[in-house]
Amino acid sequence: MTRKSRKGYLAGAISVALIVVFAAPLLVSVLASIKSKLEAATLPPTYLPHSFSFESYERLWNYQSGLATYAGNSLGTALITIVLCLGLTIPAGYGLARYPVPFKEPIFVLLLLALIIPYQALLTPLFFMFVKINLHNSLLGLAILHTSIQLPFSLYVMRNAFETVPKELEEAGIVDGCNSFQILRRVFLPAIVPAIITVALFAFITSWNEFLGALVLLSRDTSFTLPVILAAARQQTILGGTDWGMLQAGITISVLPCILFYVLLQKYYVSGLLSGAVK
Amino acid sequence: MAQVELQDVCKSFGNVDVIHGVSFSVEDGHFVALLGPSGCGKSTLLRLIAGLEDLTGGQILIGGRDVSDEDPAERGIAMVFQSYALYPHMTVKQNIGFSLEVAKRPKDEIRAKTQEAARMLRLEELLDRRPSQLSGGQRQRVAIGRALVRDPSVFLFDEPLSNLDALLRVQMRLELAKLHRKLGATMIYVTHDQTEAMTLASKIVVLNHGHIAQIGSPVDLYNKPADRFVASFIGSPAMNFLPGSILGSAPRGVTEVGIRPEHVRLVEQRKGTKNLAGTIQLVERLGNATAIHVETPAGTVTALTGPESEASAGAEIGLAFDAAKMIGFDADGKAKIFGIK
Repeated sequence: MTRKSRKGYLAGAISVALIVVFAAPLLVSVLASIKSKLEAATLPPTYLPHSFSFESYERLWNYQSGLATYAGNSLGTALITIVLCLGLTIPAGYGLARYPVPFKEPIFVLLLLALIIPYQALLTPLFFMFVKINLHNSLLGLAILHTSIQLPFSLYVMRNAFETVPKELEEAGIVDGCNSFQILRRVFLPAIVPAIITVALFAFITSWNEFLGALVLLSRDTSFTLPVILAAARQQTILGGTDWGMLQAGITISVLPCILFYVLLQKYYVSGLLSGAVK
Repeated sequence: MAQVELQDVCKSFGNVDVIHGVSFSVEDGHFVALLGPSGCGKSTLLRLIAGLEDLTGGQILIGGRDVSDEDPAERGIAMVFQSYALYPHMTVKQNIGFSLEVAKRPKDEIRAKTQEAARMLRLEELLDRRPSQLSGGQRQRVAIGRALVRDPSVFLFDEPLSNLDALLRVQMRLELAKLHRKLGATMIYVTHDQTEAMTLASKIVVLNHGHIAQIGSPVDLYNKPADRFVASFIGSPAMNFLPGSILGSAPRGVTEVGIRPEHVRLVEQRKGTKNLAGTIQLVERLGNATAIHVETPAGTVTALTGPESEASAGAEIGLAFDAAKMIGFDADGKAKIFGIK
């Protein structure tokens, strides 16, 4: 065996080990979700289900206002968060990267400073503020909170993306008669698709998984999101114990969109959309 | 097509003055090259003409109209960038037709003009490809096509061939010359490559540190450079400069003489002769000629001889100069005398 192939095998073995470590909990969760209610609660737990049953999913589907409502709320909030994140950071990144804004570096650093303040610390004042402007118990209010969590990172990604677009492309657009809005839309946006996908992906995952903010801002059963309802579902056996099967079904369902979204869009992460533009 | 006139054009970036009161004009339909070393301000000057930079002072007139404060798209210019600057997400067809689309021209007109430009530049087979699927030469042709469809009064080229390999550069040079002849358009071409400038342009503006060093035809610049800078910049291998003292009695005011390598002859060194002598340091066989670099007490002298030269490094050799081809420079580097008797 050559040194090169030995190294290849070693790298492969490490990769497989890492995949096992990361995938095992997910697999255990999926397997538990298709056990019967009794088997899911057995101690010590079994790894493989002895019989397949979708009753956990059925219970989850009919739980309180129904899974569709909660998944719909989560999806709605995540989509509004994506729209707000992109709607705010695309013009901001464009301006900070391509225009001679006075003090733009200090402004950029100031905006990034929000990263170091944990949003949990701001939840109480935010709650009171949202109550005053009637944004509590609303998906829009929650999406605004999720947007504010995601904004500094999104702005960082977006400004960097705008900066990597060659100046000549912008100038070619100017010579071709574009105004600044047309340059943004026709020249820049197609060139920064990977950054747009990245921001959308992170905004989706953040919003879809966010729990504490949703718990604080939402108090009406019909406006709960998936993470909130999953936490509530933990206390659902007659004796106040945990319905493990339903919980795992909830986890499985809540993980799916994240995986799906990532798998569908991940190729844009690495694609060099600017290849061929210059040189 | 139109005449371009620059009147006392100045440009500063903050406290740094880059262009110092440059004035010249480009006649309608002429091909003018802006030539100079890196950092001389030639690209800045082109960008000022294009409207991509604001003037600090002076005026720019295109077709007799003052365009100093107009947007690039209103100036009737088209620009070909050094790096092509093709829109990567668009096909060749979309790239070429983009400016017409932005101008909201009818679809039929866009299609017709795109086809016509593609035909002229032999791009018909590539219209549905994206820039990343094209070679360097093809990309450059697309960039030219993008300029063509706008029917501009003036074409501006910013070192358009500098990213191509040597062979392709020669081919594209030829194509540009043909294109100019066919269109009869006014073209301004920035380059640091003197061969490009001399082969393409009918007039060359040599720039140095943001000033015009000389304006003239390629032959004029070669034979009658205004100063030491132009003399050294034009010509390859570069002109030899020797102290005036080698002439014995230099003409009045001449402190230095310049002689082109092709006017230097290698002669057998005999004792008692007055020829400058030295040791051959390097022999460069260029195929059609041989460049011989000789280390002499007056400095390194390059001689250009025929391809069959038998000179070899390390040999002692004498040098003879064609005095009629010598140029005398004064202490400020200004050319004083052409041909020394």
